[in-house]
Amino acid sequence: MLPSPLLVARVRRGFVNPVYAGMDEANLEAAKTLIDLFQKNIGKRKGGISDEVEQYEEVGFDYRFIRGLATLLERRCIFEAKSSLDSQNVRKLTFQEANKYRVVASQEDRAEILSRVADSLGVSVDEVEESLYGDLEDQLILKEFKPINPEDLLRQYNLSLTQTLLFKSTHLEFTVKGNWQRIFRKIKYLGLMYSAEAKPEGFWVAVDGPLSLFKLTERYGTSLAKLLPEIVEAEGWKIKASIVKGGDSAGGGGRVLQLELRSNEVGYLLKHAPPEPSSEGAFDSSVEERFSKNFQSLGFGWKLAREPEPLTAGTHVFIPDFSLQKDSAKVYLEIVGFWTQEYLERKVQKLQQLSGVDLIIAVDESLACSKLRRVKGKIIYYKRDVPLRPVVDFLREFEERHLTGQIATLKGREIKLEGDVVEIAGIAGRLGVSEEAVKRVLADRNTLGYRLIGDTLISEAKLAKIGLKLSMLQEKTLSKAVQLIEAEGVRNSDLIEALGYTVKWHGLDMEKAVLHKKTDVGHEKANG
Amino acid sequence: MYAALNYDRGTVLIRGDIKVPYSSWDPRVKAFRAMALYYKDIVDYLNRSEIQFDDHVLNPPPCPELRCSVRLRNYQQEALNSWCKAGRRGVIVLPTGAGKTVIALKAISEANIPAIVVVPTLDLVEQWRVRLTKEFKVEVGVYGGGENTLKPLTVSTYDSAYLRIEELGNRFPLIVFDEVHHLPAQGYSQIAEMFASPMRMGLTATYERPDGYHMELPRLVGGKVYELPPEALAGKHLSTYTLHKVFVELTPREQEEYDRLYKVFTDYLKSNNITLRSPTDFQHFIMRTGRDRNARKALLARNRALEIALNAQAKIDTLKKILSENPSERVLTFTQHNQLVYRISRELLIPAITHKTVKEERSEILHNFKTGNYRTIITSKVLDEGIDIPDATMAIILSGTGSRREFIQRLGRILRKKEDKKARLIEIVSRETAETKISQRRIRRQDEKDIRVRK
Repeated sequence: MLPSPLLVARVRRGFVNPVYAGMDEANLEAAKTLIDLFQKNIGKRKGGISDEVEQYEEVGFDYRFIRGLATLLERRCIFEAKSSLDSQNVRKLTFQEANKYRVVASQEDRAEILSRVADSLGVSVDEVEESLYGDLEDQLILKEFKPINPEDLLRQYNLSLTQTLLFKSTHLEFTVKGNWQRIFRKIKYLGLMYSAEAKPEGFWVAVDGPLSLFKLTERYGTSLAKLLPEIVEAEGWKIKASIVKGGDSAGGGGRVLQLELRSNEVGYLLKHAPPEPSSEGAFDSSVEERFSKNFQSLGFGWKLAREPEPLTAGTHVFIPDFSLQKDSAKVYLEIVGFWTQEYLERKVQKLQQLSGVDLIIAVDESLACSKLRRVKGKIIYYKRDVPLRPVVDFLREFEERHLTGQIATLKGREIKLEGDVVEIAGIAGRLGVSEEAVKRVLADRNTLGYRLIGDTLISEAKLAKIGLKLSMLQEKTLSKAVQLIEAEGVRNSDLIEALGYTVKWHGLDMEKAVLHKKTDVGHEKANG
Repeated sequence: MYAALNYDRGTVLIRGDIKVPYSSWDPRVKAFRAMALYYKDIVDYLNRSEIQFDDHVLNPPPCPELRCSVRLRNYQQEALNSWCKAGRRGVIVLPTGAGKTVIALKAISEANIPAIVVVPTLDLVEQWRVRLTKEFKVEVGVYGGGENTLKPLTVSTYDSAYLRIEELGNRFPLIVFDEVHHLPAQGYSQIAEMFASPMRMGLTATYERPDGYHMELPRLVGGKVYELPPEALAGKHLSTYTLHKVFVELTPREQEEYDRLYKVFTDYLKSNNITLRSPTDFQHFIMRTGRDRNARKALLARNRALEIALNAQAKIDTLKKILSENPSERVLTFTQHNQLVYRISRELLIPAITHKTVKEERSEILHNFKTGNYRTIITSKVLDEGIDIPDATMAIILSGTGSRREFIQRLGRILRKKEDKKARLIEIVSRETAETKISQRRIRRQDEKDIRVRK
């Protein structure tokens, strides 16, 4: 964040845009020059450094850019007073001594006073002179400077510029893919309010404060600016904000301008360093971490995702710990670790507002509370670790229920079969149900003229044709057979067997694997 | 019909089956919401309409008996009576030095409830803290200058109150705005809008603001309930003063440099057909400096020219002379620029107070000035308002901005009544510079508006 006079922004047709420092050579050079300037001035006075910076303000760059960079660099510095004497005390002694005079009219008077103070402190006159106002900002000495690379400095500058613009914002809305937990935690921490909604283009959040209901106020601008880094840290963000420009000291007048930013356009100018590799390791608790590991090593067909998109529960959002997904079936898992009575009650209240959502709650057994039983969904009690067994059982049962539900929706609906080869996945996609549901329904229906082989329906005519061609094949190697089948427009690993052949392997080479008619098997055995 | 009122971060949430005045539906929480400013009106409405309601808005800290035994002068008592009659809301306008503080003390004592006093500067925070502690014999809470303590009697700067409205807004049934003309500024007005305090008192010597926003005060605090012009008290409770003006010349070198720099500025204006007649014109010019390199050069040249005029060596010499010729006077010297403050402090070894001076050192200097250990203080703007230095007998202005209010308050600094003293105000101005104009503007306005008797 920068002092507002250093803001550089362009206004056009009701829109305002920060003038970002691009990653071009000139800007990188300027950044590097200033970084070096601070580096080489360690041990020098702050006033002198400022004077040097000022020279660069006049050489072709916008002075606000140079001063902005310098402001950010100053924050990486530690300044301290040169003299070890307590300046405040030196002043007190000096002024009291000087008060014995009507006025300190001459240099001689002044020297006499200072030398008396020096004597009383047992130091030199120069040291008194030095420390008299040695604690003023200009006089401080640069003790330490924490270096930064030019690219990062420019990114920090761009982010600060955006934040400075947001100081004057009355309202902020955004969509973003991820980082939910931290974003909502920050919103709460900053005392802001939000409205949230799942929209087709993504989960949408609007942020302002209690007073925003009554007036356009910049009151929450600083907090909105503080929220920005959490948003740009995520992937795929879009931001819209209303910025007040101008107006008088009492907040009258002024115009409201729109700010719109997208990560795919300016993200690379704002975001610091690529996301840290620890993003996967950042679990809220070790219970969550262990569960995640154990579940994934199960290889059970259900995909586990941490911190999925928020769910709206009444006027709140709720971010479950995990989502578990298989095809169109989606279940959420929330692990309740430590809790207090109020925490649990609030949680229950929140969860009760989640309608149409399937949720498993895992509660530490020793902390189990009868209140949680009232929550819709499955409750699993655990000690130390969330057990996989009940989760898996629940998912299986859920899948079955989900399937039954889907089969029920397919009841009475016609399933058209066209062409020689029909993929089940295609039908499932078209009808918006799982493949398993389609298979089960088809099994009960008349699919005259077709056979279900693996995940594909193939016409009897096609099967006959392929069967005939196979039987006429001179060399019945597997590779030849596969070639033949694929030439007929079918890719199906179960087909060969369905046509009554087995494959006899000789090593791993497909050329050497040979097809045998199942009836041949006995014959071969007899021979052998 | 039923309603429950709760405080939520500067607003009142109304849950129930009715809509009350001043409230709007907030879909974010599915309840009606109103600015805390209207808390009293809402309660009055519910009472008048005989609607049952639960009120959880105010949450004052546990409070001991708050009694003090200050005595009011007649006009102070009249002022307090008018405020009470107006429903314990409204602004009292009294000249600087007429004793506004004691009116607030009495109001707190009579109400005997937790109260917060909001003031513009850290000096005033300290002054109120000392006074409240002494009169009520309780520990006083402070917000500002790095302190954050909440007590039944609390003093805060406008800045800290603004920043902490959310948490402080329902803790005090009574709020006192000292120097209330600051309140209708952007941001600050939210203190009044977001505090729920039903009782509100504003105190000031200068009700009007140049920008006209004092029109907001009736809504924020209550209207003007009492006013006494300075003339009514002059000679009786306040000391009178005389005004001198001393012109100094720039040294030839200063003059040459000044002319050269000022020409850069005027040449730029001329060649770009810019006239600067109003503050708005000047603002436009400043905005231009962001995109026009030459405009920026012109601005820097102008600033350096003004710096020369403000920092003229002759001014310091004149200051020396005045100090030397008036050994028995207690002198406050004002100048607008910190740079000059420190230069004089270094050269003449006079204690200095600026906005950078830490609280501890500032108290030390003020204390030593009061006890006579220091005869002179040099300061920039921080002592502008309300700070109590009754021992000052002379004020010297070395530079200024030409603002009318600032001028009155600087005068007020030495207007305090002390036996039969006649205070002296001396202004030192460089001749033939842009600064002369600023000073003329200031004196003219003062002649017109302040010395003339208002009824």
